[in-house]
Amino acid sequence: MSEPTSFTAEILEASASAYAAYAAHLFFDRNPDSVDRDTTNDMSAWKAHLTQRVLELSAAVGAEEPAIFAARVRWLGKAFRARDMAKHDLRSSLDCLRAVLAEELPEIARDTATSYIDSALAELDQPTSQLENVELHPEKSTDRLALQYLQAALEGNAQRAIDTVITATNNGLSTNDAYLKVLLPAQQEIGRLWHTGDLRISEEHLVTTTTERVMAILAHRATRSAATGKTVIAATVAGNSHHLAVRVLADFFAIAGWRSICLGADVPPSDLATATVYFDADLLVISAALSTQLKATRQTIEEVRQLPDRTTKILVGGCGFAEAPDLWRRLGADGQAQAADSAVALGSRLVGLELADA
Amino acid sequence: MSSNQTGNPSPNILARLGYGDPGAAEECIDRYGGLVWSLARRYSPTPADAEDAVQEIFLAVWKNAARFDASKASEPTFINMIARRRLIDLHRHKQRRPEGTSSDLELETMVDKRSGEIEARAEVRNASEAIKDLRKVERDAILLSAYHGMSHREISESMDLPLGTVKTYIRRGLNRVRQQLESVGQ
Repeated sequence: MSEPTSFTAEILEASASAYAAYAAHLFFDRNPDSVDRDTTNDMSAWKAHLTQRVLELSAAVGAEEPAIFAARVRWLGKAFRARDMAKHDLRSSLDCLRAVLAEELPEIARDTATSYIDSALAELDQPTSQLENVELHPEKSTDRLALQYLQAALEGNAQRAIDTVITATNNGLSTNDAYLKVLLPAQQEIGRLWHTGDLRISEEHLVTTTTERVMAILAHRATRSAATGKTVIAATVAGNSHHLAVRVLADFFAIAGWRSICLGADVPPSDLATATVYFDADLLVISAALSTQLKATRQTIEEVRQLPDRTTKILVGGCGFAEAPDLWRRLGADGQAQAADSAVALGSRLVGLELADA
Repeated sequence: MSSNQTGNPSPNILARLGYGDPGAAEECIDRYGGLVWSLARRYSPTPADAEDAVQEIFLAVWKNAARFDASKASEPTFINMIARRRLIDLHRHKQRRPEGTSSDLELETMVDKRSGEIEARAEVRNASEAIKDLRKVERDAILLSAYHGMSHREISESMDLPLGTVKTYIRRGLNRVRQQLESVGQ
């Protein structure tokens, strides 16, 4: 990270709420009609929205990746539309934020910050990517299974949901496919439904806890490869509460014969470094769901790299890296985990293991 | 925390902020957060207002750091000045006097209102001249105490000096000012 961008990111993060408050006031000055148009249109909600945008802008500037912020703004555009909030309001609020930053930031930081917002605003009206539009298709057998699973889980019938998947594996569905073609697509579907405003957070949590129960059964029943003698630690970085993906990764490594330690969500950098030593890990897999967690990812990598006499390899993954394919390298990691099965293959190569045939 | 030979905190944080040095903002908050917070708390009606004020003060510090001139003021004095101005702006904006507000906050306004009191103004001028003749560390300590209303402990923290040293500087400085005022009056 170059010095000006690092400084700009630092200033934005340190004073996010103040810049956001100025922008929220400017937004209300410019859009007095917005106050009564939506139920969520109170000043505190707009301050919270803009504070989050400043933090995301800080993360993108810190990573020197304008695409990260632009992707977030595109995502917001869709979320605004899904909740019947005027897209104009999103654009106008970001215009206000740009105006405030152009006026209030130190001169040395202004051009970088405003250019990132300009890039994002230019892309706001672009069509969403294919990935964002993925839905489950009933004509495909595993998607149909995922939909049956989702329906049972959302009805609160955990037993039927679990039976749906376990019965399918008894009838020949591989463990890999149960994870990658049923459970994860089901989770992606509820994420999509939440994004489009069709699902409440409580419903998302209901499905996620059911999925964890299914995964525990699948992992326990799975046939494991011979022990590799290698240890992997999987966790999400500080601030990331979405731990399901690292749970999947930990299970896949365990099935592949690794000693697999899953530390779950929101683990501070120093704790991860300590655990790396304590468990004598050969590989550390860490996940960042949002761009605002990239700083914690960098700090974790730095802490582990500073451990004396250790050559622990580090894989990063998660949606925080989706828009910046080369970012893992600049953060100092050894690779990026794209999916659970390929992560095992990459992790094995990094620690010098020859993978058995899948 | 590093110190220079005069006993002041290392003066380069604001300069570093001015040319965009990474880490300077965090260091500035670490060093002066307590000072800014204590001022904001004193002049804000509620804790929430104080939190907002702290945020706004640092925002102004980032923006104005490049204007800092170490030959004219110490870092704590510069930051105090920014904080005080911003607090006055917020105070005027809210159009209500916070509880416990001392006369420090509106000293300038009060002096203006008393423009007819020539004698008082002359004394102020004489005192200002006397203060200018003090050693820089003594002048800073007295200004932080008398003008910005900071406690000796807060001055000790902001100037990175032992509490006893701060008390000594203020006592000696005030004695010199008093002697000078007496000599002018004779």
